[in-house]
Amino acid sequence: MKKPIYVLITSLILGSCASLTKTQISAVNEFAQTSKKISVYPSKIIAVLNEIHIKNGIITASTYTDNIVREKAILNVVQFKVKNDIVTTKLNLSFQIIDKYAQSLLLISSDKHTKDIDSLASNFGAGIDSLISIYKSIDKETKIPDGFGAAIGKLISLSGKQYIKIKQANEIKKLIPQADVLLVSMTNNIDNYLSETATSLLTSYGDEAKTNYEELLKQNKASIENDKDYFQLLTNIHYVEELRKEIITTIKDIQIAHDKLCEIIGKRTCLKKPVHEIQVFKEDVKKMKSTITKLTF
Amino acid sequence: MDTSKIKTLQQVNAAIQSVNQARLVPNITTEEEELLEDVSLTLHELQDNLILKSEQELVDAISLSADKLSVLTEQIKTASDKLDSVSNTLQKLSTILGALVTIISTAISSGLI
Repeated sequence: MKKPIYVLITSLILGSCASLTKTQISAVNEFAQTSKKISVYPSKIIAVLNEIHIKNGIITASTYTDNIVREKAILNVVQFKVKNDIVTTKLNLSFQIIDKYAQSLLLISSDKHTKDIDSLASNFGAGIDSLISIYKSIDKETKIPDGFGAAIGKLISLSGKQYIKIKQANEIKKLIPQADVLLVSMTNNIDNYLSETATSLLTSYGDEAKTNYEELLKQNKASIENDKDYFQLLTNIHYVEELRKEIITTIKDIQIAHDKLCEIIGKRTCLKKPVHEIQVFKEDVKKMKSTITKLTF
Repeated sequence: MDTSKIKTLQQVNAAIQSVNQARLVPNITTEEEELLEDVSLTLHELQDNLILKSEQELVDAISLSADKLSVLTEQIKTASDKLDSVSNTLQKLSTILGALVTIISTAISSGLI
């Protein structure tokens, strides 16, 4: 059906004075596109660290000469595997919150209006709010503002409707600086874990893989399977260490890119070239993607 | 709080390595090996607890491991002079574990966690 001429004229007038230009919206979209599944990488590192811990535990058990101690060690490994720990929950929540934020940003900055966008609006809003409330019950010191989900839900429901582009742009301008606190808080969690706990564990796993293997050699128990295990452990430890450093760099760069995004949307401007900070962040993600394929656990 | 937990984890990891090195010594006796295996098992349990448990759950778990380690340290001292470095590491760890229990207990009683 043809749009009446006055609707087209109104759209043109409103479009021309919209508070964000197409290039600014594209920058928001590019940032969101890059960070929409960012949780894959830190989640993978935690999963592999757990696998290394378990593998090391089994190999350590095989070095014990006392059968009672050996069996107890295996039972401890089983307990470790089944226990759902609070540290991982807090970290996983941090990643999921960043994912949700990026995915909602992707929707609101998209130039296509999908059919189910209204139902997505309510799901996204409720989803991110419930994740934040679970997170707050674990981390009581966090300073994440309330009602974040409602703001996102409102924004998504506006998305794509041409006649309210100005309102949409204004809401984006409000949301991104508000999300800055959220992003810094969530990424700092990951940074703390990777800089301190993961470093200590990786060093320990590497040392232990070596001494366990030497212990098996000393006891004349080392088989080709032990050689393969040792090789696999050392290789994975190497790539996890690489991924750990890359994630730490990405965390810093995602914060820089988001800061830049806040600055960009501050005033209406036509961006002449791709935003450097977002390109750096995109490169970081590419590197992590490549490293993750080298992990065998 | 997190810093104390990480420092303790680092010390536990160092103790595991110290025990592993001691086990590699060629002329170790069966009695010494068995003692070191017991210590190794307890240290790994401690490592698991520090990774897995929340602060509230940690106090009991750490106290239990600290008691076991204290008994094993005395046995090591009595059994062999060769294992002095292990018993020294364990004594150092015992002090750190005590400090962590105090910090967590104080935080719990003050309503901080």
